[in-house]
Amino acid sequence: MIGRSLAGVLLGLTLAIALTGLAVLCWPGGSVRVLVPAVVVFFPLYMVLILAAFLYRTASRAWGWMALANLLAFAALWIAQRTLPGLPS
Amino acid sequence: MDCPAHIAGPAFVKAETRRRLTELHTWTGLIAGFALFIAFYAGALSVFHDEIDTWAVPHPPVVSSDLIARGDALMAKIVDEHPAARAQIGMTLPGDHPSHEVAVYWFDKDWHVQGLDDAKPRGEDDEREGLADFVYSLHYTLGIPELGIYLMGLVSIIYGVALLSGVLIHLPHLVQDLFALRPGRNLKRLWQDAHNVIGILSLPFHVIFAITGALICLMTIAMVAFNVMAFDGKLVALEDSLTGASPTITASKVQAPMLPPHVAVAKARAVALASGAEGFDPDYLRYLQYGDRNAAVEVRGRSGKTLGEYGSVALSAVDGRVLGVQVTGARDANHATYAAIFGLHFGTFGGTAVKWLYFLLGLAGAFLFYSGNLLYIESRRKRRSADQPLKVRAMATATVGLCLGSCSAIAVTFCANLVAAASGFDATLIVKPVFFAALAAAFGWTLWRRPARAAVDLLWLTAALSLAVAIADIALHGLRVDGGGAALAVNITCIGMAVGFASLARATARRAQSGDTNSVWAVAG
Repeated sequence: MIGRSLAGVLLGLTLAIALTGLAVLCWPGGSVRVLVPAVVVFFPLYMVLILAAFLYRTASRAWGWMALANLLAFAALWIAQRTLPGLPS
Repeated sequence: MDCPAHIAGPAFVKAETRRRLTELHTWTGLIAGFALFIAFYAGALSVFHDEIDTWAVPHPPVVSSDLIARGDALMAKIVDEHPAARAQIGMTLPGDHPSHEVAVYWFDKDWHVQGLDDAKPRGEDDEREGLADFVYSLHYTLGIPELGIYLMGLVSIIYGVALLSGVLIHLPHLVQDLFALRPGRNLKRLWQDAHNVIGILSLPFHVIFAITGALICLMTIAMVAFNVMAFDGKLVALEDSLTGASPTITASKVQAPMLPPHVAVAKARAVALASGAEGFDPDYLRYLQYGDRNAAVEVRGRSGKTLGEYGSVALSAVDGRVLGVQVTGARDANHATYAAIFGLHFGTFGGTAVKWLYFLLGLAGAFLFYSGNLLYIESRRKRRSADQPLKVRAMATATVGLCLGSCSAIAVTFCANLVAAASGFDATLIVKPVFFAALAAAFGWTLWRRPARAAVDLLWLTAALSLAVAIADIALHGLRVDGGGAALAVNITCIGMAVGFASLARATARRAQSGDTNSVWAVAG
C-alpha cells in the first residue's frame, strides 16, 4: 500500500503537472487563454493518477510505468518549452 | 469496507484489483472522513452564513452613506503612512448582514487590514470571528489557523481518490445498488446500502466539492508549482490578470488625484450593465498604483443568471477610462472558469431553492462519512463476543466523539452566542473557545461513557440545545420577521434540526437497548 501510495502521490503529481503544462503550451490559439481551466483539470487528473497507481499488479510496476510516463511527459514538455511560443514574458 | 459478497456477475476490474481498491477506499475514507464530516456539517450551515449572521447579531446593519467616504479617507491616510501600500490597496464595500465590515486591505510584505473603527492595522489572521464567520472558518480550516486551509486542500484530494475508488468498486452494479435498501437483521448490509445509495445519488455533488474544494484551498500553491515546473517562471506575472480585470499597471512616478470610490463604483456598474451583465452588485474595489497618473481602480461585483456570479471592471483611477471588463457575457475562459469554481462551491448560482439543496446535500454528505465509519466498525465486529477489538472500539469512540461531538459543540456555540449577545458581552471573544471546549468535553464524555451511551447523550443534547436556542431567541427577540425573515428561518431550521437529532437519538437508544449485544453499540454488553 505504502509503495503504491507514494508512487501515486509523488509521480502522479509531477506527471499531472507535466501533462497539463504540455496541454497549455500546445493549445491552439494561445496558451494564456486556458491557464485557469488547465489548473481546474490538473486536480481531477492528479486524483485519477493516484488511483491509477493502485491498478498495477505490483508496486514496482506502478513505480516503473509512472516513472517512464514522467520521463516521456517531461521530455515532451522540454521540447515544447523550446519550440512553441509559450507564455508571454 | 469489505467487498459485498452478495453480488456476483461480471466484474469491471479483476477481483484482486477490486480488493486493493476497497482497501484504498477504506483508508482514504478513514484519513479524510473526520475532517470531511466537520467540513460538510459546518459547510451545510454556512450555506446560510448571512442568515445566521443576521440571527446571531441582533441589531440591524449600519446603513450609512458616509461609509464609502470614510473608507476613501482611510485609504489616503494609509498610503501616506505606508508608501508600499500604493501598489495595491482596496476596501470592502458596505454589505447587508450585520457583522459585515467595511475595511481597507493592503499589501506591504504581507496583507494588512484596518476596519473603519480600528485605531491601527491588524494582521489578516487575528480577525475576531462572530458565530457565522466562525462556523464558516470551521468549514474550510477546521479552526486551525494558517495551515488549516492547506490541510483541507489535501483532504479534498484524498476525498477525490476515495470517490473514484468507491465508484470503481461499485461500477459493475451501480444500478442494482441504487435501488437496494434492505432493512432487516443484517445491519451491515443496511448500512452498506444506505452508504451506497447516498454516495451514488449525490455523486455529482461530491465530484464538484472534491475538485472545487481542492482548487479553492490549493490554487495558489498549484500556480507556484506550474510556474516553476512548466512555464519557466512566466506565470507569476500573469496571475493577477487571470482573475482580475486590470491589465498590468506600471507607475509613471507622476502624481495625480484619484477617482473617489463611489464614482468608480457607479461607473463600473454602468459599464458592467452595458456589457450585458444581469445586475452588478459591487462588494470590493482596489486601486493599483494608488496616487499615480497610471493608476487603475478595479471594482468586483456580483451578477445574476450566471454560474459564476463574480465579475470585475477595471477603470483608469484618474479619468475613469475603461481598462478591462470581465463580467458575465463579456469575459474570457480564465475568468469564466475562475468565477464558476466559486459559484459551484458556494451554490450562489440559483437562488433560495439551490441553497436549500446545497444545505440538504451537505447534511447528506456528512451522513455519508458517518455511515462509512459505521460500516468500518460493523465489518470488523466480533459476532460471538461482547468484547470488541481495540481498533473497533477506538473507531467508535473517535466517530462519536468527533462527529457527534462537533454537532453538539456547534449547538453549544449557538447557545453561547445567544447568551453573550443578550447580556451585552462581545460574542466574537467567546465563540471559538466555547466550540473547542465543548468539543473536548464531548470527546471526554465519549471516552468515559463509552460510544453506545455517549452517542445517545450527544444526540439528545444537540436536539435539546437546538430547540432551546430557537425558543430562547423567539422569547427574547420575538418572531423577527423583518429583513426577509432570515432570523425566523434560522429559528425554524433549528427546530427542524432538533426533530432530526431527536429521532436519531431515539433510533440509537433503541439499537443500544434491544440490538445485537455483541457490538460496540450495545449498552448491555
